[in-house]
Amino acid sequence: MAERVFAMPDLGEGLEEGKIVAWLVAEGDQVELNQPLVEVDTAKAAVEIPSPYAGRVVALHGSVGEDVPVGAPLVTFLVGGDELGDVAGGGSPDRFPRSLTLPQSRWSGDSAPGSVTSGTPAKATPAVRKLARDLGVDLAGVIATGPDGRVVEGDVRAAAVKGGASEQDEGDFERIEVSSVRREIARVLGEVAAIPQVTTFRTVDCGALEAVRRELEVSPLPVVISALARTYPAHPLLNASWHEDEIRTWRHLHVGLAVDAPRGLAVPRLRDADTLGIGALAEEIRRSAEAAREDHLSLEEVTGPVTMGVSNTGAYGSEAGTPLLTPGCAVTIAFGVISPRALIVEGEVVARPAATISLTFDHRVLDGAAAGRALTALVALLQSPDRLRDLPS
Amino acid sequence: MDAPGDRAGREPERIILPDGTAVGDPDVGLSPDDLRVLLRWMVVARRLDRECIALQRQGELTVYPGYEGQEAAQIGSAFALGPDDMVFPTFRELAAALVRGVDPVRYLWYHRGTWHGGPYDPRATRFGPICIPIATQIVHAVGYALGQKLDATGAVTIAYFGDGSTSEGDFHEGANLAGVWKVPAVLFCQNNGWAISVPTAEQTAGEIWRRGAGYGMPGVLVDGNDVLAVYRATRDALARARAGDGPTLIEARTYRIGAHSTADDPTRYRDEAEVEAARAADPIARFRTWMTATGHADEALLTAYEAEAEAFALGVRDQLTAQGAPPVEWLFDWVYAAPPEAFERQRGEALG
Amino acid sequence: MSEWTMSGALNAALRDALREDPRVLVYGEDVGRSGGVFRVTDGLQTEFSAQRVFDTPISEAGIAGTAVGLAFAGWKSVIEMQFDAFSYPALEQVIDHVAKMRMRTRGRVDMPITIRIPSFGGIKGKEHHGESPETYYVHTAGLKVVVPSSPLDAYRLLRHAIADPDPVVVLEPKARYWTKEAGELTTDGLAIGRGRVLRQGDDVTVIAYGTMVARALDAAATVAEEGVGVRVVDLRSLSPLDEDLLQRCAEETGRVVVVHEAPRTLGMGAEIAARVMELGFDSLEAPVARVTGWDAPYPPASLEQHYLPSVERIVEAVRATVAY
Repeated sequence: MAERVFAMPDLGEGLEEGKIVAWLVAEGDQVELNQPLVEVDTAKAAVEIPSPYAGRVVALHGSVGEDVPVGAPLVTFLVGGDELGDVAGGGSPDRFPRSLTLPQSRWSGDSAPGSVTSGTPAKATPAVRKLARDLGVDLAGVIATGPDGRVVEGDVRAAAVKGGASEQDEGDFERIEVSSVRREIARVLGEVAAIPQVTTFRTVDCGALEAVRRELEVSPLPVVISALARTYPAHPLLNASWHEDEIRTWRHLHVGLAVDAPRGLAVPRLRDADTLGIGALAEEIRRSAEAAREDHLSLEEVTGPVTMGVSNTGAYGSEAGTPLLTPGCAVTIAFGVISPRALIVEGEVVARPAATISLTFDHRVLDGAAAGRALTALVALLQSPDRLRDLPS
Repeated sequence: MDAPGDRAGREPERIILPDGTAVGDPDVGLSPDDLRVLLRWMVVARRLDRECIALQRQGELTVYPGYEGQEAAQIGSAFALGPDDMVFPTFRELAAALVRGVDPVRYLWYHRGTWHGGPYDPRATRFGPICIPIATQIVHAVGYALGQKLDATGAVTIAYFGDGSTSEGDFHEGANLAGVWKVPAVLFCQNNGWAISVPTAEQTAGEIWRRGAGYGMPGVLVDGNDVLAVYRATRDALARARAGDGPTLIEARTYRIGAHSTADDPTRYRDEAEVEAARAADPIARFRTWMTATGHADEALLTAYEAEAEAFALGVRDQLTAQGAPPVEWLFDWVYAAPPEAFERQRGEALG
Repeated sequence: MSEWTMSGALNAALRDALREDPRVLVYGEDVGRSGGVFRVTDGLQTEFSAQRVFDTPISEAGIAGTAVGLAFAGWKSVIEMQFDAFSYPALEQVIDHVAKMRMRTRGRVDMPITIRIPSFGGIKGKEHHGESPETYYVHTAGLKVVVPSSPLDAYRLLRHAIADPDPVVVLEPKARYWTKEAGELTTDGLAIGRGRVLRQGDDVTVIAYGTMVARALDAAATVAEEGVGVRVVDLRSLSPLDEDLLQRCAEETGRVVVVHEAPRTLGMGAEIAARVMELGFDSLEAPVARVTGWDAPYPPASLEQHYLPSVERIVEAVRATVAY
């Protein structure tokens, strides 16, 4: 048994819809193949449509007087038994068509007219334009000596030799083509830069962190994220966002982890980081980083909402920085490199592994005091071996 | 005044009356088995036609031109053809196609929009491609017949066309050439009363069969709903052609019970009363009556034929509805026997 | 060394085709007994019998349509439309059936039909005797169209057309039927689909076909005296076009002038300009120029010379293109 939906057919040479005049069957009726099903009024004529199946009428789609568009469901049947076979479109040995692709335009549309200075495009024949392109000469700046103010070949060659009469030093730079991804990143960061954001810094004594992370055989990052997960419930503005005149604090922690990917910065999402133990976090981080490197991030990973941004800038040696906010987050944290520093411990100068946390916050959501308090709490946790060992592993 | 060569007076040739009684000599040289085959084909054709209309209403065919009422005209004439004879049809001759052994599923590809006029092999089936431009196939038939004459094959070519066709220049040119070249051809007109919405009286002022004289060939008028009369008239015309006596024009008077096609609404231009009257002269009903009265068929046989027709129609339905869209390559295949380079480049461009 | 008129060369082509292939037929109006109004079919009926070379009633659609039926029966018809404009009654059969039957029958029924049409103007003919119908045929997918410009090439093109399994329209420039050329008749050489360069030059290309080729050569000679290298191309094959040649001319000369009798709008000049642009845009030093008949019905004999591209008009266009 299977359900089959019979759509309103095109009853004659491009009709767009049919108006239901009368149903000749009711829902629940058992019908035979070709049994009259419905009377339909088209733009041309009144037509009786016979049933395309033998079976039971499950649903009638459309009431008397209603216009049903061609292709929209008309009747749903329950069709029984043995050889259903494929109906209209399947089952035949013939191949299905590939889509027709339109030919690529042969004109690349560069050296676009309407360029900078004069406002009227340079006049030049196709051959001269090509020459200009090949020689890297900007036609807009070339002095034209040809008929009708046209740039001729000689003009282009002269401009190429001289280095041109154009404003810039032609040939003094190399062009790196910008990918669409990078263009998108540039656009988004431009928007982010408009948000009022402030970065505050805190030094962390990483003795405890290093010890615990070595025990667990992980890098510092998953431990830091786990610590963040433990910290934000008491400091909800850490895990919040500004939303059109309201602040939203999020129940769960979805970390937007900044990773380096071939096409540029990628920010895969660590979902529900607050529910993962350190081991699981480490695995997720490793997987995301690898996927990003190989350009394998799934759509879900790069488009889901994030609530807090984390950047492991220490991985490439940065001590501190002013990370830009990850879009949608009130806070982005950069964890700097752990390296030996001279710290004062109990009045003595000692060499300790230490790192700087750089926390950028959206000043519409937090103020310095709130950010400071949150950081204090985070650092206290990171510096306590007992409490670190208490984090879910 | 009847011109020399006319076989008919004012009344069409007739053997079986609408009520099923015989008025002429029913012995047309067919065995009882042959007679049963005729009936069987008509029953199958009628049932298939109905199925095709249903298929169109279900969106499986784009536009379908039905032939209900014309079964005897097509089947009676097609049945008389020899295996080497050739048919050039219009777009309404599915019943004749069945008799010639054309696969109806492939024929119906045309009305499904899968392929144009000749998805079946016209040379193998001796049945030309479905032809839409009115009357143009008549000229093809005459050319083919000339080819047969040049090769002295003894084969005859039949061109089917309707009453509307006789207004087109190609009917005149074809008939004229056929007469001048004295080709072995039969020009078979199914006068079904209507060319879409134009009745025959407004199509032409004279009677179609009479034009034969104008082209130097016999003109025959036959009751197109009388399968035996149609068979006989065609048989005789074929024999004349085979003997080298040239072409014949046959006008078979019948009636188009259905619409011109599924895109047509005949209630806009004709009376239901006329259609009812035509039903009373139904070709299958009268033949069935005569067959049972003469003992060539009985109820059991008729039931069996109807069951067979049902199964046949449903089989066509199954195969047809399973047919998917054709491959895009078909746009370019077969256009040329020797495709030019520029054409191949364009094919590459279109198919990626 | 023999000397051939174009009419004589075409006649020889028909004779040789009839001889070599017993399935070839030649028919049309007045082609049999009287040998054709331009004598192109002279003597053929006598040699090959009225079975294979025969006259028809005045019935252009019938002539073309019966060729279709004959193709079904395995015959290769070489039919004649007596004059360019008289091919129009046959257009429906040609467009709907001759061009499409092979595709329609999925390759099972070929249309090896040759349609010969004395065409173009310049003979002070009556109305409808000087038309340029090539666009209608070139625009019809499924057909091939050729136009000879000289006797030896006319022989070659007609032989190739008859041997081609696809339908070929041969537009014979009637104004050139009596021109002479010395040489041997042969089918060797350029096939359908290839143009030929009749004069070398690298500064500008003049593309012409049929009657206009001679005028293009005259114009080229005049401009050459001014130190300009003029290349002259005889297109020969309108469908398919020799795209490689068009591209080479665009790339090597950068300037193209097209000459045809047919009216400007949607004449071959439009198609050639489009293809030259597609194939060689970056090489173009000037827009493609078209020297054509006017967008007006073909005039009476007394005005013919103002309609047809004159050598002067061609020279002007070449100069303008070079000076652009």
